[in-house]
Amino acid sequence: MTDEQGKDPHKGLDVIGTHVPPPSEVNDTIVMGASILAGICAIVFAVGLTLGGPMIVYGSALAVGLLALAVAVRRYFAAAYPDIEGVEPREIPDAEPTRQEDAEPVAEVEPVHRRTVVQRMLIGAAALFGLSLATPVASLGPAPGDTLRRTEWEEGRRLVTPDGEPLRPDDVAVGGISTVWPEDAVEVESSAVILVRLSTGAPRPPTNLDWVVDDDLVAYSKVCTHAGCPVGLFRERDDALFCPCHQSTFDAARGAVPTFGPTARALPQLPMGVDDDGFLVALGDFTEQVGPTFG
Amino acid sequence: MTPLFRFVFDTLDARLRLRGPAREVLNKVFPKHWSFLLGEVALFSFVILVLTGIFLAMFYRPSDDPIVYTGSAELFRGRTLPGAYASIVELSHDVTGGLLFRRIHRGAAYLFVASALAHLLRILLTGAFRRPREVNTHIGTTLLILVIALAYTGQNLVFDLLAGSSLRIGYATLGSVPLIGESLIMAVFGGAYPGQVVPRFFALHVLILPAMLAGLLTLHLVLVARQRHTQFPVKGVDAQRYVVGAPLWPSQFAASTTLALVVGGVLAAFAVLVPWSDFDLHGPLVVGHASNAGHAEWWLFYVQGAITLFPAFDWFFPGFAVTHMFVFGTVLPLGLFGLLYAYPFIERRLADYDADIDNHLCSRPLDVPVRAGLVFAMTTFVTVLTVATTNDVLARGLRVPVEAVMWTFRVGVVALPLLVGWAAYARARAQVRRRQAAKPATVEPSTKVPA
Amino acid sequence: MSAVRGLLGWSGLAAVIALVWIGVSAGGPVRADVEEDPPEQQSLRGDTLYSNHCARCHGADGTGGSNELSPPLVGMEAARVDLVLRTGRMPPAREDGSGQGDIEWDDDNREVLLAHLTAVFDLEGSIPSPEEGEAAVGREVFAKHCAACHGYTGDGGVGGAGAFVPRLLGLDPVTVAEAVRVGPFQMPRFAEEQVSDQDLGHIVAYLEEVAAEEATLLNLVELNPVFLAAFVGVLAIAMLFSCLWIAGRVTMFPDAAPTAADAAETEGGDA
Repeated sequence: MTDEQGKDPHKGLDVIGTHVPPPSEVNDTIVMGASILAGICAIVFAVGLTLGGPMIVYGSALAVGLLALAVAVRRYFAAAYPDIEGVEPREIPDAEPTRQEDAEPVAEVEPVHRRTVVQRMLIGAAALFGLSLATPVASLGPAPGDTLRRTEWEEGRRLVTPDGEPLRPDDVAVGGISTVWPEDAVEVESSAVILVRLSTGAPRPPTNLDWVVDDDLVAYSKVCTHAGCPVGLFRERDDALFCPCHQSTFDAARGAVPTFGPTARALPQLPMGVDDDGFLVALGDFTEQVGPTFG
Repeated sequence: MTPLFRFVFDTLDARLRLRGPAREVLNKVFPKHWSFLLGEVALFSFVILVLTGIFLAMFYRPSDDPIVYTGSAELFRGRTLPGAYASIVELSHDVTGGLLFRRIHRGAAYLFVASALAHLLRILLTGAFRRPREVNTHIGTTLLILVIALAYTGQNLVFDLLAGSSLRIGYATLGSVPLIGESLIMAVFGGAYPGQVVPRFFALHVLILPAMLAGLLTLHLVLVARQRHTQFPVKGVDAQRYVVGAPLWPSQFAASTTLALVVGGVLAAFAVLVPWSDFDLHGPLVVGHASNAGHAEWWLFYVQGAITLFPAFDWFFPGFAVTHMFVFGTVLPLGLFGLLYAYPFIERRLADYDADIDNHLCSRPLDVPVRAGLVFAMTTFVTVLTVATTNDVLARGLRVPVEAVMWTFRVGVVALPLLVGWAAYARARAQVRRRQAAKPATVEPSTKVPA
Repeated sequence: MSAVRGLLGWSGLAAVIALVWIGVSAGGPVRADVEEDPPEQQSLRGDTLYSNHCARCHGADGTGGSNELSPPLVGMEAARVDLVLRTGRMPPAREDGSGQGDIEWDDDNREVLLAHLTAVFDLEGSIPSPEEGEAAVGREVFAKHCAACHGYTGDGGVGGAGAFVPRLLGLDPVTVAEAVRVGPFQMPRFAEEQVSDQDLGHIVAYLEEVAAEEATLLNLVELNPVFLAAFVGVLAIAMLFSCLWIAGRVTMFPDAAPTAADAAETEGGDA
């Protein structure tokens, strides 16, 4: 292989057009100016960063400097070098594709004794082994069981505020809402509950009236049955729970049945009552799956 | 060559025999067109992401265990925050350059996704995916998936209130897969929400996904070098046989260097002007709470639009369920990517040119009517879904109930893609017919290799 | 002579400017005279204010009118009345009761009117006054009770069915406190057991901190992903133009298809 510049089309450059730019003082001035600006900006950036200066100073220096350098590079190359148009041959496929039998073998050494069965057993073992290397995926998490379908709510668990304080029915004003959790299980995602005191009076079926306290205090799961966002908005006058993510709307006075939006299931209602000390308690876990339906 | 460079080169050449390969590389010819630079924009965004990412990784704490923040930020001083969020608050407020590099990193991520999509559109519309480049096209589609995975894991590492909703919806999407949903959740999250997501996403975002991306990207570029670039027809040269353009040195080197500097400069400028990744007011992820007016990141808007727009259903079967979230959150996006993978083969079937010969020419977007119709229709479909996500902003701006906006988009998402696709197809067909009528019959169309 | 004329001229001009200034100030939003009156005078003033601005819809005896926006005032919460006066929602701009009010209640007038209404219509409760709070605590309280509707930046949002959640920045502390306790229109009410009086102070401190948040040169503070997407669009366009500039071509797609004659011409280089 010759290293000389020459006729070898794979090493040299086949030129079909050249444009030599005329010398231009304006261009040289631009390159010099841009280079100086870029240099100054580089220094300001470095010094500014080291001194802990305001971000606007070293940030702008970085931006302006890079852009000035870009202008300088482009202008320099445009003026210092000719604009060349060259050609390079592509690898041309054969006009007639060679047939499989006539093609050169990829490897030169062929097997001398054909052992098909033995070969297949070997390949089979290797394949099995390869597949088995995928099994560590099973260690990535515990078997789901029903962990994802259960919540921390159970009979006798008090409803507490995010600060852990148990609630009495009177703590929630008419037309008021509160996010509540099971006692000792604050911020366990599946167990988020929104407590609502309806402003339009007593709820109607399919709300379970046995789980309603004070005739208008009702609790639903806060986990949206569409994609799981917390349903935190409450339109007091309509008694409507509204999910901010995809605008699913639930009628809190009618068992949190969906009235609009991409959700198909109502929010499960929490069985709720009052314990002997007057605090709100759960009467058991939800009777439906909380959150989005699993596949 | 400057004397120093010459000395270094000669020294290395004496030991490594560089001269030959160097000549071959530097004299390589690159066709010139603005749309060929889109892939390079993506490449330079990736480089900037890696550089800024290395800086950010020096400060990030990959755990959600609570710590007390004692830095300078007024809104958090003395409060208990998840470790990951606290480390980023420290980086933004107490480390010089922290906020600037965070913003550049986020801006570069957005630009990476945007330029990858623009590059994909260029490949589709100019037919650069045709034989022999189907393999490289598939590698490119896989790269796009990796880019989106990187963006998703990166966004959620911040562990703020928006990330909370984003993760919860990802969790619901996994769970909606029939039969294996809950196992998928356990495999990815390692437990009930939020699970082990912070350290796992950290490993994915910083190690696994960048390594896969870098490897595939190298393969992608090697294949482009080997198969050489496609190019538009050029007067006087048979572009099927020869690549015509400017050599790597000096022209393409100058262009690429300029582009790299411009990408850096523009990202830095935007980082100063636009608070890309500021999140003090979002606050950390708090289980059980979400904010109004929260959305996914823009490159997921089409998925959010899909799971918002279409009417609700949950189909129950013995032993499993097919839910709205599964169909529109999983099947639809996978279907779109499946279409992308399948498209070279779809066009082979439907187009009227000879698809069994190598093609190195770029066509114009309306040259192949079937392609114009399909690409325009699908792009419109994804765009309508994307814009549909902004329904709450539109409702507020126009003082119209959000339900009315949703219904408008429900109609639009079916009607507009069909209309636009059909219009593109009809116009392309008319244009092709006009051009064929004007050409003399003996001339072969530019997509064939002369015998 | 000319000096005197000049002096007269300038004084006249100054006088004209002063008169115009006074006229413009006086011709702005309706304002009653601000003076310190004895109690009977104040009560009379309150009565006058009520008759002029409220009685037409709410009735001379406060028993209310025909539509939802003119409820009976007898026995209403004082905080609710004060809130709608502070926010300028009452009296409304339009006949049908909609629109923000065009009467600017200054503190004196509002207090006088409120005192009159409390006496005459037995308004209940008192006006909350939030204490000093910490912004850092307020951020957490806000996230847990308020962000779901008002957005994490207090920017507001949609509530569905035509309900729009308002922006909270620039409101005075008492307005915020009253809104939390009263739950006006579609907003739920938060009793003291859920959001304590101390918490009200924290929320106010947080909102003030948000309003004072450092903005970029474009006056932007943390952005909603939708507006960020708009800026991504601008970024993409900036990069598109950069590509056009670097590639140095003006036309979008070159229009030179080779003809048979061209193919027969010299193909550059060695084959």
